[in-house]
Amino acid sequence: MSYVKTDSEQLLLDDLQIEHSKYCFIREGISENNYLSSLERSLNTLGLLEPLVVHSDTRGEIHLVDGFKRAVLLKRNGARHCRVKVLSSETPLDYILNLLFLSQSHRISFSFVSRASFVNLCLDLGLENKQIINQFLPLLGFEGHETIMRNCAKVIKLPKLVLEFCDKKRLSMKQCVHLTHFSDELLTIVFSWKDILNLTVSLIEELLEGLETILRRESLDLYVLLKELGVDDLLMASISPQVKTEKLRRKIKIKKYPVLSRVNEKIEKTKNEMNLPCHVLLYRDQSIENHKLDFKIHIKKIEDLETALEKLQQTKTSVEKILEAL
Amino acid sequence: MASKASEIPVALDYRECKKKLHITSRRGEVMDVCSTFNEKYICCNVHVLKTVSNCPFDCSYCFLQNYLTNTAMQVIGDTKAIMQEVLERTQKEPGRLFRVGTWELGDSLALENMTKSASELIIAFAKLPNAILELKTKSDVVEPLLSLEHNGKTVVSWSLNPESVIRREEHKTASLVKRLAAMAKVYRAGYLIGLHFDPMIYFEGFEKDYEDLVIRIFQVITPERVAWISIGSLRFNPEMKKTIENNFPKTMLTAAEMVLGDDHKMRYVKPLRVLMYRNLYKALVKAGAKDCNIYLCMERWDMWEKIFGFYPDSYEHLDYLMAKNLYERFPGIARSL
Repeated sequence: MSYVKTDSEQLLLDDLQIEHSKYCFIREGISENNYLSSLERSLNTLGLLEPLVVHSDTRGEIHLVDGFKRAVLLKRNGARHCRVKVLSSETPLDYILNLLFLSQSHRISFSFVSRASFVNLCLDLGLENKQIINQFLPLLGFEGHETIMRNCAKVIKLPKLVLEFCDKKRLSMKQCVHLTHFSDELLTIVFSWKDILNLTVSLIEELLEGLETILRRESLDLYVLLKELGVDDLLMASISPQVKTEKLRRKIKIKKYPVLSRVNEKIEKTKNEMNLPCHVLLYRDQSIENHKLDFKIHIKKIEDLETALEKLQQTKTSVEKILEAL
Repeated sequence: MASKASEIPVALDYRECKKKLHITSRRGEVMDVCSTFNEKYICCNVHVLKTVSNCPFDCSYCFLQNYLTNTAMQVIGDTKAIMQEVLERTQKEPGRLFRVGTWELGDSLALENMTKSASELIIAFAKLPNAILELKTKSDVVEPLLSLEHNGKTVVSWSLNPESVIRREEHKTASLVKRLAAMAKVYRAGYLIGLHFDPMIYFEGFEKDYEDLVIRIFQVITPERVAWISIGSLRFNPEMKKTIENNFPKTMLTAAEMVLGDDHKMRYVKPLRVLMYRNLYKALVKAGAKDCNIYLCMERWDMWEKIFGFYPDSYEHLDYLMAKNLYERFPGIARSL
């Protein structure tokens, strides 16, 4: 049985759901790039060589399945009609989704977020879990398991700004799922800093973790905490994004680890008082878990050894003090 | 219900699995040393019998949440086979005292009314010359134990925390009042008692709550019959943080000031641990329990030094110190050697 009504037919573009097509799996505008201008040139010179594929649903609405970019360009260039192949309303949903996957596999496979968007589309359109698990998850490179579907559903609820970032940076499922543990409010704030600060994915995670822990521990409102940390002033300061980032990290760290910060501050003070020559280096565990100190001496000439040994002789009290704090 | 090992389905839902008990037969070796062993942390070198897997209780900090591959709740019913293994193992080193616990992957007594497996082990250990059984629990299930011929070879232990912590974090376990009442019964039945203040939880006002806890314990038992006391603080691997937060959204455990240790576990920062341990140790000394084999569970040597003023050279050394203490205080333990 063929579900394609006719070879192709003319359709009024205004009658076609393009951006609002129920098969539009990721709602993003089309960005101007070389591919798009080349496609536009082709449409202007050769016309529409392959008809668009549309689905006529039971309510009589016509939804675009394949040819989103072409449809937008045709409309933009003033076309009123276009040739389409129509999938009848009886067409099984998984056939349409399979077609959609084949025609957009490059975009769908781009990132975890795009794959999750496709899974979510399958769910939204009412495809049975079993079919998604057995048919589409393996196609998308996932293991056929319910957990994957649950993860996709969770991730897709992230704020738009976050989803765009995860998609662009091609974050893994684990990284995306991790972000779902944070509130939308916190995510939106931290991700809004991405153009002001020097933020890598791991730094974003560190800031989120830090702020979330403090908020929970101290039962604070996010904006009260940000004010307390002086975040607004810091973000507006005339310093480089790198310096801003480091300052913010430090502020959050001190607030997250108050006891540890106090001990470390005390140790650093003692260490500075030791006035070690620059070729004598003192290392220790910043988490203060390991009760030990490591000295490293760079020796280029014999005098370096002599000055180091002489200085080390004088540091006994300070070393004792640091060890006591560890 | 009882199931053959081969019939137990691989279960993944951790909570759902707590509702159904499978009695299984022994598969492979069940006697091992405590799996928390790590060279940077001093371990008491206790042996464990992996006879119980998963637990009907629902503690928010429980490592089983993301440890078990198959979360089906299981108890090995084949005591004869277990004891054969224990006998072979302990006979190889007749001069050594083996402490053997059944709490590695679950609660030793929570299911005892149904399984009676701990009771069978108590009777079997009573005849072993160089081994003591430890049953560790957060339950009050002790009735099946009271009339057994234990021969002083079983230590019934409780994992203890102040009532406020029990209510917040140790869901479905017996309240402190019930645990203490059960402890009193076991004590009267002549068993040795073990106390485990582990995991200690840090919270505002912890000092008084832990001091009160110690006072209440020694209102129902005397230190003379306490075989050992362990002290340890909350620890979990970083991957478990989110599991805890997902399973227990209201818990504040993971919001504490914690750092990653060399054993890849998160712990309270050292100054907090020192505060907690010192405070508890002081309360224990005040209660007359100084000589009750008090040890730190999975802590560094310098922490031992800070709390007790000394540290064992190795886990073997701690094992020896504990055995020596037991022989000196309970000569009956060595009677059959």
